[in-house]
Amino acid sequence: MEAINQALSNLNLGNGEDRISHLPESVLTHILSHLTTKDAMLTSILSRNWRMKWICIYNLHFDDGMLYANEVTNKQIFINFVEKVFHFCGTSRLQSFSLTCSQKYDPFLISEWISTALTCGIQRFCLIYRNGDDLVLPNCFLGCETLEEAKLIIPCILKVSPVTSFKNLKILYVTKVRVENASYPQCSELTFTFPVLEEFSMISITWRNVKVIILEAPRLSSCRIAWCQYKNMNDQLDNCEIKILKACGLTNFNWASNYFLENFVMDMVPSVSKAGLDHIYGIDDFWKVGIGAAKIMKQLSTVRHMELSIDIVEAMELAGVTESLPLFSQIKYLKLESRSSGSTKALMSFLRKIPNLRYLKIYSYFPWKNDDYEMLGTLPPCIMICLEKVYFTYHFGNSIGFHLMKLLLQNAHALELMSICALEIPSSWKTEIKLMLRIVPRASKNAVIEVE
Amino acid sequence: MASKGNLTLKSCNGKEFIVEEKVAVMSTTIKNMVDVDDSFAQGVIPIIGVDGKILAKLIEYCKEHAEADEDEEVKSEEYLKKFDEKFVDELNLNDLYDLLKASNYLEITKLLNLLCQKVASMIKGKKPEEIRRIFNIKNDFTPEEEEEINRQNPWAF
Repeated sequence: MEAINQALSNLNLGNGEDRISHLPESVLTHILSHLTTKDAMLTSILSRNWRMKWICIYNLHFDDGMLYANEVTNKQIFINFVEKVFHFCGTSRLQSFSLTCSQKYDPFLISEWISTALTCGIQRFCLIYRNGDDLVLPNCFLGCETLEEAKLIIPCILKVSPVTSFKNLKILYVTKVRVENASYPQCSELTFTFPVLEEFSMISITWRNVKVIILEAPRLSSCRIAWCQYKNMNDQLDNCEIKILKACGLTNFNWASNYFLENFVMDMVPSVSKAGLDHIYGIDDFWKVGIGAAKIMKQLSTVRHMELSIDIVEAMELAGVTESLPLFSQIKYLKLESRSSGSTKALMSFLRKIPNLRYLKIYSYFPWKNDDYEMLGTLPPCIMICLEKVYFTYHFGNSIGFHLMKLLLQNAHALELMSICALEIPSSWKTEIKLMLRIVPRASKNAVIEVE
Repeated sequence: MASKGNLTLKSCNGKEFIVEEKVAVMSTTIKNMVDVDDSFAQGVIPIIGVDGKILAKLIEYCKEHAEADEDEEVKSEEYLKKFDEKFVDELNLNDLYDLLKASNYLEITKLLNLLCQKVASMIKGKKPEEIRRIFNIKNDFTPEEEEEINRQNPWAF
């Protein structure tokens, strides 16, 4: 209550006039369209004047989590609510439709709502429905001409024909969707043309009976493909070729995988400035991971900001391909994240390819391998000459990569800061590491050590 | 008389502002006036129904955004976001209404959006009594009518 009074006094209510009710209709429509549909409809209770103002809204935003908590009645109340809104608002003015469901509903009902919205010319479509595994996304989604933005987080089935085109789509985020090739076995290649797509993200998508995916997106600037699976008709994992065509303006590229099933092909040399590659390393397949990762890295020679999993660095070293990488002379910032043990040897070998590195961040969820750094020979030039700031974040206490810290302190002439952040580690260790690092001779007089 | 590349805007209470054309044409209405009739570009453009105080505010907003559109490096998205936040936070309710009407009339879409968002944020998640208090809306329903409305909208409470 106090907060409200405070807000009221800040607002300077003037003469206590009700001016909002007399704003132009179009302005009120804008205001109400910025609200969730529940809040917009709630304004019908304010006064007679407001009784029907809300029905002009052009953005529909439904979220069953925002209605009552009693499970049984809640569902029916939500359904009635949505149907009532469709009834009153009509669909002729709709610009965007957003539906978030936390509970499970009749798939035919949901499908009908979605079809109604998609066929009336909406520009933005958002569907978040984690229990929607029994839903088959209506066909009208594919190729919907008016859509400019689509965001889907739903484990539903999407049946796709060989060629799909989204004329106006600028942003596409899909998560969890199970894509099925409707033309299998006649055709195992799916082509998507996106003449104006700028941002594309697909996360945890399962593709079935697809051998080649072609993304033709000349305006693409950001592309993220993470944790996707490709399965054949027997439900076994399969490889898939992903062709990204005409994307000469690609600046952000982000890829993550459990199984390394993708083979990327790009027909243009993109000018990627920010890239992330992540892979959970299986010890058996370092050949595949190393060689595959090196192949992707070769397309990324313009990168300035790179994020990698240490597993990839390790795999490239084990497969003996690090040497074949191009020189990444523009990388200033490198972030390494480990889900398995990293080794100094592989890191040093990789850093030779990054001559101008300034900032190095290492997130280590696993102990660092204790390889003998004395045997490494000469260090990469970037450490000797230009490395300025190093950040370590550790989650495990046992092997903390002390030798790596020591190595950097002793040899990095331009080092300004070494920051060590230890999580889930007893404070006694922190004191210990401080003492140990204090006696290490430093190559840079200005180097500051911070232990958090 | 404005020099080349500048336009003169005149508020309804007679205050004149000389602004760069790129700033003024953030308003689609002004842009259309200048495009259609050359005499506006030379002389004074009357901004009907907008007083000097509000016009100054509008110009302040348009200036920041026009410059940002021209040079992304100098004024980053983050800078603009902060500017926008501060801009709407400093408005009182009457200014907010006046600016809403003015930006609607002058078709300054970005600003209209920002202001509508501000008003929406004042309504969002609040109970009807709170909304009525904030905006001085008089509840003119009879108790019976109110009960009937509440019955029709069981999700609201």
